[in-house]
Amino acid sequence: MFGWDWMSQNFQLVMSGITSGCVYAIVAIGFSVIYNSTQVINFAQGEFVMIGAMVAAVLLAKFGLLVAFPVAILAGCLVGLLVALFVLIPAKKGSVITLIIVTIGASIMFKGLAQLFWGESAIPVPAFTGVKTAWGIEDRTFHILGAVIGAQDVWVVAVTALLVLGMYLFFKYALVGKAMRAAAMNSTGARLVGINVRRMIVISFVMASALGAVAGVTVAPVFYAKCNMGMALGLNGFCAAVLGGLGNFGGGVVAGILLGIVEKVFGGIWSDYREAISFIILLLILFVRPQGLIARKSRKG
Amino acid sequence: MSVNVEAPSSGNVTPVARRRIGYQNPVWHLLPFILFVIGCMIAPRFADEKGMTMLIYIGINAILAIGLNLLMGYAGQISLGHAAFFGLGAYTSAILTVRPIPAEVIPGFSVGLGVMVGTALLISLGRIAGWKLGAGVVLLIMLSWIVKALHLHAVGFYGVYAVVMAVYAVLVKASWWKGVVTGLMTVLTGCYCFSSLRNVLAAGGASPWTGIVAGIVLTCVVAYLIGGQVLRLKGHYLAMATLGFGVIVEVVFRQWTAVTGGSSDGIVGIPDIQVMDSLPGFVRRALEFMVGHKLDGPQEYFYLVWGLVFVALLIAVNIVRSRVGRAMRAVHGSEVAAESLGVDTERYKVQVFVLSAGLASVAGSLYAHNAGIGYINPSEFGLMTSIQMVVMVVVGGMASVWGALIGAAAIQALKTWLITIERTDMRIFGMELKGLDPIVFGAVLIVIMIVLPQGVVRGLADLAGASWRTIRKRKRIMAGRGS
Amino acid sequence: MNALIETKSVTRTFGGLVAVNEVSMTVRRGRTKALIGPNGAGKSTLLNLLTGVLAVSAGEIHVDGVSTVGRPCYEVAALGLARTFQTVQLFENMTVLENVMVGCHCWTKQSIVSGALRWVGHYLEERRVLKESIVQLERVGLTDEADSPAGSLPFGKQRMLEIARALASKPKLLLLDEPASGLSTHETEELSELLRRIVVEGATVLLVDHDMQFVMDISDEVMVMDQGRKIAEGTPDEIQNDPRVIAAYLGTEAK
Repeated sequence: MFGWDWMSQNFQLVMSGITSGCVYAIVAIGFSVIYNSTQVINFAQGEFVMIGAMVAAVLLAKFGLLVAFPVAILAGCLVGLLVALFVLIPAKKGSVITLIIVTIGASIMFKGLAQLFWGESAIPVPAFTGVKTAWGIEDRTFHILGAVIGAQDVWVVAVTALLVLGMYLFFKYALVGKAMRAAAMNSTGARLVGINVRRMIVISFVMASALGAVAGVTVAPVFYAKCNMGMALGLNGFCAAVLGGLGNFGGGVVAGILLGIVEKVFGGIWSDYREAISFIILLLILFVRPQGLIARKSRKG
Repeated sequence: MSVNVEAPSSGNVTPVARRRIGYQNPVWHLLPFILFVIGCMIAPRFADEKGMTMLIYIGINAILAIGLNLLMGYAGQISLGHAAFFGLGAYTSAILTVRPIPAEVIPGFSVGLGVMVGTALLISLGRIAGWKLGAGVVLLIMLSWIVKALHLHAVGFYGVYAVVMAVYAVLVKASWWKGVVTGLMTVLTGCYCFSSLRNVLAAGGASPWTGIVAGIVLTCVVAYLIGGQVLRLKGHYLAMATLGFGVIVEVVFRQWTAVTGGSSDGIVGIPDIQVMDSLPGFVRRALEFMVGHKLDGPQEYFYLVWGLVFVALLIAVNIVRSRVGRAMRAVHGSEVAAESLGVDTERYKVQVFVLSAGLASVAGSLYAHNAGIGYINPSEFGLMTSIQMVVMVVVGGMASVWGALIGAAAIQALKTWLITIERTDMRIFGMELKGLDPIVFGAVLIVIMIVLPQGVVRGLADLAGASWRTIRKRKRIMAGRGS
Repeated sequence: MNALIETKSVTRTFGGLVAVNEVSMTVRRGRTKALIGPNGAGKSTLLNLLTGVLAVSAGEIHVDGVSTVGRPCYEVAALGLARTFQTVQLFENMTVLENVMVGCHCWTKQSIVSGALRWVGHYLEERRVLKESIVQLERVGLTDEADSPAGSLPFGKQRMLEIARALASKPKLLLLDEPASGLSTHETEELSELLRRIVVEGATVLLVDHDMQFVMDISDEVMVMDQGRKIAEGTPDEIQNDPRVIAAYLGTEAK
């Protein structure tokens, strides 16, 4: 039973887990970016990915990557801008519940609009470095240790690595990045020092949505672009963000990849309840080891 | 009620004349109820069949909204997974009345119920949480396997449970007898469920009332188990946790086809509730008089549903204006201050959570038995439904019980309107108008939370209250009694 | 026992910072004790430790002989401690009267079930609560505003309301965290008046404040903290002339 087949099957699961894990990682980074500058958790993060994927899906086949990629990112930025301007800024003075509800509202609106524009069905998306075959454009594949890995999976991992590096450098060295961290830690203080908090909100949302769009474009060939893909991605990404520590980029990345692997492996074992697995993990984490992010009653520091 | 207060014991004699304090003024509180009853009495006379259906749905939604309103508006906790409780009530009613549980599922089912009861006891008796709780649950499950594998005689059966749980309790520093009680109750519940499920469910066809009560019990136990853990979280974490819980339950509904029939079949043929036969004769005659003729199916159901809405409203209003209601509103105002005055916030949050789950369960049972339809399907208990419930509460106003009613009506009207739009062949920019629900509800959520965060009812009430106070102040100043 | 509150070497650390460093103190029944010290001395932290809002890192606290270490905040309140806050923590979503009624929570016992079902016990208790709340409102002079939302009161009256609310819980010990801060001279006098009346009736008070005049007028005993430690304790006269106290306050103007 533990022969070559089992090994290669599990290795296959691990590899595909890494791919989806990278997407979760990028979504987690998006959550952290926004949380770092605004203390808000953006429930619409998953939809940013979805929009990137859908735009790419529509454009890739006809116009190729060089057009689809930037347009998708632009679309993502636009969406992020809209959310920041028309949803977050007006609601910023409300309570935590207000902010939650408002981002949920934005999230379901985008999902509904996507369904309206692009229909309910999944759109297959050609791979970046695909090969034209008799059946259309198919992805190149590699065979490693008995597992089949597509070139697109490699793209996903590469893009993720680039984005992580970019984020790290940005927040460590760029002035805007440091300003964003200041705005998150103390918005009144930041304002006094001359940092425009509103601009921070806009910038962080645009960044997060661009990130999401990039992820969406890159992963669309693997997953199919479907208008309801945002929810699962958003929730898994949030799970990863919490696991790795909200606001902690590196942690979010590691957690995302781990989560992807665990999800695929356990999904192989317990396939009926595959969709529920990440939520079960999420609940367990929130109950047992919130890592000091929970304010316990009578233990206020 | 007016209050005649004598001087405080300090010796400073300042007699206070009888005064009507607004808090106690009964008119404000009775009036809406009277209007409500009158409205319910005469509505069937004027509504046609489609109107009746809509009114019934509004009633079911109202019960949901009232419960969720108490949780969100007064206890200040958000729940994005309440459709799970709605579904639990519906499925329990459906299963008990129509669809016998297949024999091979019953043992696991009974064990599961037993473990749940045991866990609930563990939490309440020992106030245990976190990893200790997890360990306790795992232990209970393992005990079930072990005992089954060992084929023990009854006494040995109970003994093993009691001893092991006692040791566990000592290890986690709860008293040993609590562990024993937990272990024994787990076993007893499991056995009881096994025998009764076998009898009742192999035959199927329990009375709808049994279904409703069983639904409430099951849902409340689940809510207690989940609530104790989830409600320790705050803000976003709480929202995500409840969302996750809702999705997990929905997946269970869809995938556990042996019991629930899954998404392809659902459960069909749920019987109507024969209300009128259970009521005394004079009530039936009074209702017939109101309507003008003998009551037919939907009208009977209308009175059942709205009778329960009345009960729900009564409970909610009573709680809000009682000691616990004040305590909860205090927690909402300032948790630190509430705690410093002796309010055990966690306990009340859980209590309200359980209450709102129970109400959702009743609504679910009513939904399942809905006269003439009798069919349920897992897709009706998913995330969109949970969000719709939140929209109802938000629109009606989170701090207003009657607002929940208005929110339910508004959302149902909105849904009906959207359905009629989708039925037409209208196109905007060449796009077919389908799936408008998320867009409209999303927009409603955003707009209301920005513009009228208190909801429609409270927004207007605040305006009225403020103007009333200004008028009174002016009157007082003019009468020469300036403070 | 004469000591109502007794602490032994109570310590609280936040990461590397020692906010309260081995403070031992007692508050005796019927006395008014003031806790003063420069900013950052740890006074509010000590108050939070006494009321159970913060957990102690080390040491003991006993209220009327009962240990409060490890107990959650609401249990400590039930033992007879009531407090006000530095930044007024009113329930702004409720009326003035309702705020005070919440104060009665710890000596009442109607549950959620009895609230929903409203049997006789509920009504009897509500009457007692209402009566007590009105009594407290009269004490602080807020009966006219009983039905106004708590947030609509001017600041001085908000402080009075907070005190009324604390008094409604029939506390053994009243802890006041900077009650005079932000008040005008006139309002501070009203506050002193109120506290004097309460003290005459036999209340025990622990008071934290910066306003020296206010503190010296009211208190029987003063304790001075600096950088987490107790540096002096005695009558107001002794403290005013203590060189250590003056040194600690160098740079801070005492009123």
